[in-house]
Amino acid sequence: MEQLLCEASADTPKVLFDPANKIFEISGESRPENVKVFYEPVLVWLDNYLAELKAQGKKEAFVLKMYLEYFNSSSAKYFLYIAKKIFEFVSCGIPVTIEWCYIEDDEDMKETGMEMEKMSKVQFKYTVIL
Amino acid sequence: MEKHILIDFSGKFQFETIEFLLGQAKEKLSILEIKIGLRKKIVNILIECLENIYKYTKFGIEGDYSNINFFSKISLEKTNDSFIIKAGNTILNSDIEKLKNKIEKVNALNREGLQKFYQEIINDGKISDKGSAGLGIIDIAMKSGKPIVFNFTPKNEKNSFYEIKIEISENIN
Repeated sequence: MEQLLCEASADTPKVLFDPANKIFEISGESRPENVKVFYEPVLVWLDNYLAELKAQGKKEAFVLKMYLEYFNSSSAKYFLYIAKKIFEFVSCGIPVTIEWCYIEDDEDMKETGMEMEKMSKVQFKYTVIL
Repeated sequence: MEKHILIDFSGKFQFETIEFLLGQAKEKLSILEIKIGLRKKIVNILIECLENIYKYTKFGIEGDYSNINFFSKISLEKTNDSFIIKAGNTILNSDIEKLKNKIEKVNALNREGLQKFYQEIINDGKISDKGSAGLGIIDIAMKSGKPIVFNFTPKNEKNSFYEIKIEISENIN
């Protein structure tokens, strides 16, 4: 599977999904002018990757690291779509977890992660950045 | 009461205006001795306010909307123990009812009620063609922990000026 790479800009995060090197991360600031346009291709990529793993019968674990400095409320909606998509991997027996990173003292970010975990049923691991 | 203005904008609003004003706010806030969590909370609420202006400003009839009466406005100021964000933009009179109902609903909810409403919209709500999820007002109320003060001022037969005021206490969290 070809990697997915979107370099970060002032209003969009870096997205790197690189199965060969087992790097899956979304990081930076997320407030694109139109969230749909930015995140739909990310969901399509995940769909294709899941289909490929299923076709090959592979169940390799991976961790999706999410370290967002700032994001708008409509990006949150897409983070939930992504987390629900990850749950489809888990449902197929592929052990995927989400590493939710937040700066110490940023209670709002921690709380959002916990809400996402509850709603998506995916296992989250919390990493505090000092 | 001592007041310190961090950003104050009035004018025509474009997507680039968001980046410009956010940059200013982040820089000014970084100089103040406040906790990172509070700083991030203020910036996040500001992002929602700026995007609301960008996405929901609407003019109804043919005419000159380039005068000061129709300028979008946003300010962030620090008082003794809180931060105040004021945002205003022109909307269609026909949108007032829906907007008013939403803010009144949000203002009447406690924290648990807001969380439930947020979950409902994030799970079942649709994303509009402009890329809005309808979560902005709920998110602002959850983060600020205080009622959103709002006002509509009629401007002409089609438009009104919509203003909100959000207070973020320094002692929140």
